Amino acid sequence: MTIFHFGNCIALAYGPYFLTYKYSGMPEYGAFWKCAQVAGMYMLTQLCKMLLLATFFPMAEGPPEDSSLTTELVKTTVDFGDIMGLSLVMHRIPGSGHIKVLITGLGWAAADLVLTRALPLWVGARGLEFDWKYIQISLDANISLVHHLNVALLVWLWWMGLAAAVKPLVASLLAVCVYRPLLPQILALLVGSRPAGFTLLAVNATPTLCISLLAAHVFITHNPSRW
Amino acid sequence: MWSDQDLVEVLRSSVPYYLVVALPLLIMLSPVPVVDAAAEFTVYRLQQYDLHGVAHGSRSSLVNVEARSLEAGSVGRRCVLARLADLTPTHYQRVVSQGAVSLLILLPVNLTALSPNHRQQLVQDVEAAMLEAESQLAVYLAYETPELLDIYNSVRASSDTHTASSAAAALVSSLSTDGYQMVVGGSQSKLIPDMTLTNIQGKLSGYGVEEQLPTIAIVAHYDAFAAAPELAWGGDSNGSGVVVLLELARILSRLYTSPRTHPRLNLAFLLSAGGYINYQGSKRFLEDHLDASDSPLLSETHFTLCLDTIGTGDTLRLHVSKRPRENSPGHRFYQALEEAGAQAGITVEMVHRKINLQEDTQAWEHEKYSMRRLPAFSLSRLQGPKTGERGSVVDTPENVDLAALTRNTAVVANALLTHIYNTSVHDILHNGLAVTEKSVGSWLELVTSQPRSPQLLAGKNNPLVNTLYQILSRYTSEAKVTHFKADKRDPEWAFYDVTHATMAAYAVKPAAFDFLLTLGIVLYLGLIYVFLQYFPKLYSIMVKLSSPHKSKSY
Repeated sequence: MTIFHFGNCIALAYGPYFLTYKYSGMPEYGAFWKCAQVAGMYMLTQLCKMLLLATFFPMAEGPPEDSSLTTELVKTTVDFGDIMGLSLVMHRIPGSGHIKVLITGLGWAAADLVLTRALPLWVGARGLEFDWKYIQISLDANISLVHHLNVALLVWLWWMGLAAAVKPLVASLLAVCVYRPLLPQILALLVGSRPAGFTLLAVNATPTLCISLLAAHVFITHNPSRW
Repeated sequence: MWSDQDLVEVLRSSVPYYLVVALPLLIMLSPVPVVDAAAEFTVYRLQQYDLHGVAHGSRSSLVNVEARSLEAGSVGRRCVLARLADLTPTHYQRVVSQGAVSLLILLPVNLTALSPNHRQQLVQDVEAAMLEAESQLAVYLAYETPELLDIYNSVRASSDTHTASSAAAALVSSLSTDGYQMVVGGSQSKLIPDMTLTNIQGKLSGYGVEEQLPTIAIVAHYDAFAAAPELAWGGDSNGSGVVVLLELARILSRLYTSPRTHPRLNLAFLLSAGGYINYQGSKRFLEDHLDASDSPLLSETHFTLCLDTIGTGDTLRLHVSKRPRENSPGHRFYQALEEAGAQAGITVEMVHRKINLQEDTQAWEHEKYSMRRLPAFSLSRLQGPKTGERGSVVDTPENVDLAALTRNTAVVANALLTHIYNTSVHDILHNGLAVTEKSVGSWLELVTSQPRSPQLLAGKNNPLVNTLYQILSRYTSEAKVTHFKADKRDPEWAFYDVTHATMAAYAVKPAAFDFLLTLGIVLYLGLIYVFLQYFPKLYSIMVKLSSPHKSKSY
C-alpha cells in the first residue's frame, strides 16, 4: 500500500527479533558480533545446500505444488545441512548454556529473515495494491524465530551429552523440525486441500509451539549443565 | 589490530546514523514497484474535440483516485463506477457538479440486446449529455468483464457501509471489504497536431462531351461517431450510406462501360470525411469544385443525393430544404423513388426542413449543397437529424438489418436507373447487376471492420481510407483522394489523442486500516516484551511443574 504499510510489516517482522535480542540479556555478553558470525555461517551453509541441490536435483518442471511427496522429502533431507552448520557454529561460539543457544538461534533466524523475507516485503508491501500476503510473511517471520531457537536448543542438547534415554526423543524432534516444511503437502494429501494464508500460518505455528514446549521440558528436566 | 569489541563499538556507534541517512535515501531513490494490480483492463475514453471553437467531451485522461459507486453520498475526488443501464443524464450532471475526477461506465457486452426504449432513454441521452459540453472529468467506457463486475459489486458493497450506524462498524467492515484505487497513467491528452481528413471521390463520365452533360452527385460521409472514438462502429450511421454508394458504383460502372447502356449523364461519387463535424468533407468538396472555376464537375448538376442512415426500417425519407419544382430532376427522382419503394413495399416520404442560418452547424449533409444553391437532398430512414440514433455506441454492425439494407439499396438503384434512362427498368438489373445480399454484406463488413471516428481515420495512409479509394478507383474513373486540414489560425475542428488506455484497479485499504494495524502490532510487540520480561519467572514455574516428573523418572 504505502510506506506506512511497509513500516507496519517491518515492525511486525523485525520487532520480535529486536526485543528478543534486547531483553534476553544478550547485549551484556557483546553478542552482536557473534550473531553476525552465525549469520555468516548461515550464508555458507545455504550456499553449500544450494550447490548440493543444484547438482543432484536439477530444477523440476512445473510449479512446486506438482512435484511428488517423495522428491520433496529427499530435497528437504538436504536441510539436515542446517543442523550440521548450526552444530559447527555452536562449537565455535564461546559462552555457556542458554546464551549460546540464544546467540546461535537468533543469529541464524535473523540471517534467514534478512535473506529470504526482506526482499519480498521491500518489493511488495510498498506497492499500491493491498494484500494480506505481506502481513502473513511478517507473522511467518515470527514463527520462524521460534523455530530456529528450537532447532538451536535441540542441537545444543544433542551435543551436550544427554542421557541415552532422551537422545532418540531429541533426534526425532530435530527430524520433525527439519521436515516441517512438508507439512502443508502432507495435509494436502490427507485433507484434500493445501492450506493457504492464515490457515497455513496456523499449520506452521502449531508444531513449532509444541516442539518448543517439548524442548523446554527436556531442557529443564535433563539440563546437562546442572550435572 | 582491531579486536571484535572494537569493531562492534564502531558498528554500534556509526551504523544507526548511517541508517538514518541511508534508509530515507534508499526509499526515495528506489522506484515504487509496479506490483500486479488486482485487475487491468482496456478502457475507451470519451470523445474530446473542439468544434467551431466550442469544446466538447472529456478534457482529462489521467486517473489516480479511489473508486466509488453511483449510489455513494459524495463522489468528490473519486472515480465513479456505473453501469450504463443505471446511468441517466441527471446522474452525469451530479457526478460532474460534485467534482469527481473520473467516471468509468460499464457497457454490457451485447449492446444490440438492449431494448429500443433503453437505447433511446439511457444510451443516447447519456451520450448526448456527455458530448454536449466539456467537463474536466476523465470519462472512460469499458466492456463488462467478470472481473470488472466483481470490482463493481465490491465497490457498491463498500459504498453501502458508508451509511453504517457507527464509525466503528464502518472500520470493522473495512477490514473485510476491499477498496479500489483506479489508475490510468501515461500522459495527459493532447491536441492532435495537423490532423488530416481525406475525401475520396470518383466519377463516371457520360456519353458525349463531358462538359456539356449534367451531373448527379452521390454523397455519403464515411466517418462514424460515438461517445468513445474506439466504439464508433457506425453500422447504420453512416456505414449503410457508404455501402449503398459502393454498391451503386459497382452496378453503374458496368452500365457505363457498355456502349449500349452508356447514359448521357455524368455521375460523381463522394465519400466525404468529417460528417459529424459539420460535414467538413462536403464543405471542402464544394470549395474545390465551385470556387475553383476550372473544375466543371458541379457546374450543372441535376441533383446531389446524400445517403445517410438507411440500414433498417420500412420507411425512406427524402429530406429537402426546398421542395423541388414539378418536373425538375429532383422531383422526377422523388417520383421514381416512390414508385420503386411501392414495388418493394416500403413508404417513401418527403420531409421538408428549412435551413437555419443562425446555427453554426448544418443538420443534414445536403444543406451544405443547398446553401450553395445546388439542388440536393438527403435520403435517410430517420425522421429528423437529431434523434440521437446517429453517432451512438449502440450503432454496432449488428444494428444493421442486412435484408432491409439490401432492399433499400435496390430501391435507390432502381430509382436512380429509372431517372437516368427515363424509363422503368426491371430487366436491367440482372446478370450480376442485381443488388445482392452477399455483396451488400461484404461492403458492410469492410466498412465496419474498424471504428471510424474522425481522429482514427486521420493521416495520409490510413488503411481503411486506402481500401475505399482502391474500390472507387476500380469502379470509377478519375478516382482521387483529397487531404485537407483545419485552418491554422481559426480551426473549425480539433481532436485530442488518448482514445484508449489501460486502467488498473488496485485493491487498497483505507488509511484507518493501517492505523488499526499499527495498534495491533504495537499490542503484539508489547505482549512479547512482557513475555520476555517475565521469562525467568515463567521458567521457574515450568521448572516447578516439571520437577514432579523429574522425581518420577529418576
